[in-house]
Amino acid sequence: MIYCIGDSFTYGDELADRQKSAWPALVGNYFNKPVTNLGRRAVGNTRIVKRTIDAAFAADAELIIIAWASPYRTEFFNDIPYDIWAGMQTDYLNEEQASLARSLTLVNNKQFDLWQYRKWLRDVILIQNLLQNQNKNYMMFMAYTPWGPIPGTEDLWDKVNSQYFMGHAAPSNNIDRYENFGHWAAGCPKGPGGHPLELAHQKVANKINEYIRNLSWLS
Amino acid sequence: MKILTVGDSFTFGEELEDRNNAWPFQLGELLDAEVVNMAKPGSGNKRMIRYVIDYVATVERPDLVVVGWSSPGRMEFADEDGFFDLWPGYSGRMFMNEQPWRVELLNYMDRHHNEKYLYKQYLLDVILLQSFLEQQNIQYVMLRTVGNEFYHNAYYKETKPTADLINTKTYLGWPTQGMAEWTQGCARGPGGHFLDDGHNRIANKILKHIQG
Repeated sequence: MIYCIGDSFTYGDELADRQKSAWPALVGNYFNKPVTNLGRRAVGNTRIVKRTIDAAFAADAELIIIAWASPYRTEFFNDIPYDIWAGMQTDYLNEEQASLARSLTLVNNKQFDLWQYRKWLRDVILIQNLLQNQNKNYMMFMAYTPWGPIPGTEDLWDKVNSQYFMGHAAPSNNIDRYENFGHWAAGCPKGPGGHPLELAHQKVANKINEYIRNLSWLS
Repeated sequence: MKILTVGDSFTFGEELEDRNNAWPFQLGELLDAEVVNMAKPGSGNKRMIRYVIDYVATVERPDLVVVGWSSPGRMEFADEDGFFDLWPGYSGRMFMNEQPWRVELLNYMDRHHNEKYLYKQYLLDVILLQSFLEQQNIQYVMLRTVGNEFYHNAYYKETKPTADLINTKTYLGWPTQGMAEWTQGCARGPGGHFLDDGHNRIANKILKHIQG
């Protein structure tokens, strides 16, 4: 079983048939393996960490692929968890959530960005160590984020194992080497909500396929 | 030998006349080791994880890490004035009038305190930090400020699959004992923190665990 974890880009938002044409399904086809797509809309990395821990201890996990969300999403909770981020559309939020989003927008500044980015990098380091500790095959990449590595994060990037982080080939703090889903899908059609459509998913699946074969995780 | 300790006020040594008597330093004496005590009063668990990873990434690799986990109800945030932890009923509200964003967060936490969510998050944090330290070949001991009995009993069924993933050999007192229980009968300050004698007991408890 291949477990794929991420946000709406992994879920396949805005695709006509996400079960068939989202990148996790395409990767499954390449390796003739069943896939569990744990991509969910509007989730942040806190949720992605939780789902990855579940996958890390799943006996049938042959490969785990993590598509990190933007580091600028913060998880809150009432009855169920949900993510809020600065500048988000507040139309579909309740008044309380919209107020939190406005607060996050107000407080949004360089220091806040740095804190959130470093927090995400620690999550990357923790998850890599967990998966290595559990002897799990894995790879990861960034789905989408507005920026590349920002100054003040080099120390943590040096603790990230770039071999398993597609798009972050060593030297890890070289901004020119930073790539994500957005780069790989450049020029491909997008839906009205900004999500890349079928062609982009195919391109990303090809890239993942090549990466996994180079790692010799699966044949 | 270098020991890194992280924790909240009980690891910091709050209310001690001399913070050099806090259990991290007493443990350092017992083990003839240098101690870096990064505990902070009011610290939540995310801050402790932050300190450990950043220390290993930017300073050096310690020989032993001792984590004095705090209440799962504390959440860490940051803004232009720095890092801060908040929890339901936080009593520093009066200092936050100039920071409406912090007040907004605190009010929200008061209204939506979800113990089960926070407890599960804490269990996952324990699992992640244990894996990190094991993978980095750093010896470690974990313990809690207050025993886990309430959360363990209240959410036993829902959290058992997660709790079962914890390496309990390295978690002193798991699942129900902690510093508060081990220091029963010891003198306490007006703020409820155990004093020198209590710190001595904790240091010896950890030493026995390490040597055992």
